[in-house]
Amino acid sequence: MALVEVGKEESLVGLDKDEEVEFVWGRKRGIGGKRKEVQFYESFIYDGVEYTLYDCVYMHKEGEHPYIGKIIKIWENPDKSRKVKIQWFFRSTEILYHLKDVKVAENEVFLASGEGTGLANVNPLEAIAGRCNVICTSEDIRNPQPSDEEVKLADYVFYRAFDVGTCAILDKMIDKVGGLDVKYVFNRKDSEKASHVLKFASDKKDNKTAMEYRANGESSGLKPQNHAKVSHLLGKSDVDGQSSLVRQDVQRDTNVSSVNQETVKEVNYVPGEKNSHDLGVAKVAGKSSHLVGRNDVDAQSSPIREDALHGDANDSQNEQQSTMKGNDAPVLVVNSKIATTIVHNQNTSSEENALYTVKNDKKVNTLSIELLVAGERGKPSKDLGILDDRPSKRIKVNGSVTLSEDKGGDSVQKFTVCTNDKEVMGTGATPSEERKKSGDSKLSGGLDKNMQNRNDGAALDIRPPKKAIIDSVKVKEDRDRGNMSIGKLVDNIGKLPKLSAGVSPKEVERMGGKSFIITRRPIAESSKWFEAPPWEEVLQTSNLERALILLENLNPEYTSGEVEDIIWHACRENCTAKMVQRTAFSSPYSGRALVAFKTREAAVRVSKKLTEGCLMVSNQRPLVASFVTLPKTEGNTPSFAGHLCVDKLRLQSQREMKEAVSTSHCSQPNTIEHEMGFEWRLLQSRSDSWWNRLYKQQKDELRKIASELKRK
Amino acid sequence: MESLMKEYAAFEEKVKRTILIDSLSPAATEAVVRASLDQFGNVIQVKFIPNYLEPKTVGLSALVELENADQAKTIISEISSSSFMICGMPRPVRARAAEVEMFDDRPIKPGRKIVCRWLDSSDPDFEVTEKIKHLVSKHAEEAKFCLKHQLEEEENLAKKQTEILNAAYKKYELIDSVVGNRVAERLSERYRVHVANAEQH
Repeated sequence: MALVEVGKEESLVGLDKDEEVEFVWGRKRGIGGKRKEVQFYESFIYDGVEYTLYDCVYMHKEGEHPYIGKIIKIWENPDKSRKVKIQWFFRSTEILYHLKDVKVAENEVFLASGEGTGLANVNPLEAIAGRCNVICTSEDIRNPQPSDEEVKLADYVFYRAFDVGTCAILDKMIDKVGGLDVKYVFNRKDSEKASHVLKFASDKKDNKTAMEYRANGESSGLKPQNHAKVSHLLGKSDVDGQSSLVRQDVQRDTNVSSVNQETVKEVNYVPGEKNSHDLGVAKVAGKSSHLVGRNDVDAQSSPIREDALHGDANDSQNEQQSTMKGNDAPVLVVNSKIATTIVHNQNTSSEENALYTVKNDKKVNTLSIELLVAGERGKPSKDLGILDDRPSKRIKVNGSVTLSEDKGGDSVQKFTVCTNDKEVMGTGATPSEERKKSGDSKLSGGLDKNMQNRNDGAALDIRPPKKAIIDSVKVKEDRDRGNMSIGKLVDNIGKLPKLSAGVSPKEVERMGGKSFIITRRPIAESSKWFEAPPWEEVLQTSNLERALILLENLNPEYTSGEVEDIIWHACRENCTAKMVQRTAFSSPYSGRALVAFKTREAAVRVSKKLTEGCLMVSNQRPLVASFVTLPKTEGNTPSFAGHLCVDKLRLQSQREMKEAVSTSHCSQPNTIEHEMGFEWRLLQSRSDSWWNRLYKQQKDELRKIASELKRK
Repeated sequence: MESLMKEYAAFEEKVKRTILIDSLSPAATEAVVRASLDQFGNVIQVKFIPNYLEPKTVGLSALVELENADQAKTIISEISSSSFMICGMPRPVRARAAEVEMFDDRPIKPGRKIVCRWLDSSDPDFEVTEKIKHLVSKHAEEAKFCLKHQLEEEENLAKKQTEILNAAYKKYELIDSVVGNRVAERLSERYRVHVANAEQH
């Protein structure tokens, strides 16, 4: 799979390598062209990510900001070249001239409309760099209104259009936007459906906590079993009997899409919740749980992935049974116990996000479940690793999974989640019987379950394309190693505290060569709950610990917070940073920052990384790190040249100073101090001029060297 | 998002009405600076810029926020055109317009996207970046040297001026004493020289 990743990377540069990138066409649509030789499609999977008509995507472009567009047509030419027609979104920076004084939010984009160049283009499909989460915030009644959450998680939002013909900003969407039916402009209804489900789940929290979920394969001989209480969900899954469809929806709903590597089917979850007194908790938890399915075989076979598991801090025993029952195929039962820790969220009493990954390897009925339960812990992410050994609180998971593989698609998936022992007794009767019958001895699936904290399920949304790749690489590695934690970059767009799991340095290193965009690091938000110690204190402690680093060659415009974010994203270390404030003698071209770490070890790690490796910021500034110790401050006020005192009068003048409130004045031309002051002014101008010359020369030198960089 | 832009715009306004005063004596306190500048305009806030890395003999710098940008401009021209001294003589303070980067609490500029990338040694640019890093360190040394040089110059000037001052003081003291003990008067009588001071008596 590493190969595939490499392929993807390269495809960004040159498209000729695309054979290596995984590609599967989705549903066909129609045939077109003069001789009916063009096949249109509705969806496709490219490099593990499924794209559907009217999805928003990043389009690869040289430079920092990829283009954003909406897929409005997908087809394959007779020569097998794959094309997509993209209707563009404009960033405000791209239409700055026409915006004039229109106020634009930072992540607002404009949908191209009208007629003319710039509306849409046909592009090679391989130019797609990744999915882009663009949410329509139009208040138009036809637009399914996004939740605040969704808006926060969106990469971009839009509610206005830009007419490429008249170069005007349109506040309203008419029926057609640049030829595109307005219903494809607005948010999809699906997401609304999903939120029903979520709401439903939370509403039901005090009801029966065990829910059964059945997804019936199209051609399954078994009758669909609907449970009234999950009617929304069931309704949906019935409709989406074809599992690929299910998956699409799940993806859309839960933003998991970036994790999917292969043709996968995912069935979404029914969060059962017990003892949770907070409806909000239930909702959040429901929203952030995903399951990721993975199928190495093909799109047809049905790997099943279910669901989210919610634990409660008070009673952390959850029983979960997932039963996937087939027609007549061999039955595999996996029974396992998982210990995990329920971690307290800071604001909600307890929240758990569960992510299950079921991998279905070929048709050999080995079923391995990787279970990732993500909880949340307020503070540092370091200790959020594998929690299996934690004795404190446990979730007991009894997963009984019966899986059958026949021709694919013909399987019935049944899934039960209980969060209460009692409920398990009650509702679990059937499944447990089944389990007994099928016999634990048949347990042969490699089952490994990883517990891991994840802050917010939505962390899996696709942010910038490259990040998605990183994530998926990690997911894969985890699988390979069978027990490692999944590291995840969490985008912290919203105010929700988010946390990402600890990432081993190795994983960070793997990011080598890939750009990542610096966003607010999660900890920055959670620190709101704690009074951060004053900088002076942090600085002095760190100085004593010899854990103080000076970063140089920063863009002087960066703020201290941004420096902290950079360190966090690049090295996964928390620190407190302070940009060295510019004074009269500072370089206007190069910024410095003091970075204080908690421990010497952390500082050494970061310094070593920055010194041996190279962290390029904005493609032109490699950071330079060096240890510093602060000059000792003596008790006395430091000496200051240029304030003179006649020796004999010193004592007297000092007394006067203390009494004086204001000791300033403009010197008069007939005094001796005026003359001397003038000498100082001369020295100051000379100093100004040498500083200017020095910094200008330094800037030129840097520019000259930077011009040798191949990648700008 | 809008609120961020607003916040930043407000901050930029603040920058415009703020000045940087440097070459301040370490003895200068916030009260002293405030009082000395209040005669030109309405001082809203005085904030010293901490000096962590440079030698402590470098004069202090302070950001002084005034009521409006006009006042800030007036003060800058006022201080620059005369030798405005705070907390001591004869070294005057300097004033210049504040810049965004001088502020410690500046908000993040909306819309800025920072993209980072790790380069490993196999990257074609790795060598160049090593060179850049080296150059950056060299530049830091240059700046350090420059500052050292400046401090030396200041020291020298101060020394020279102390000598002049002491010499002048001695001279005046001598004159004072001869006037005070009437030696001057007597001498002027003897040599029949007109002495202004003596005349007044």
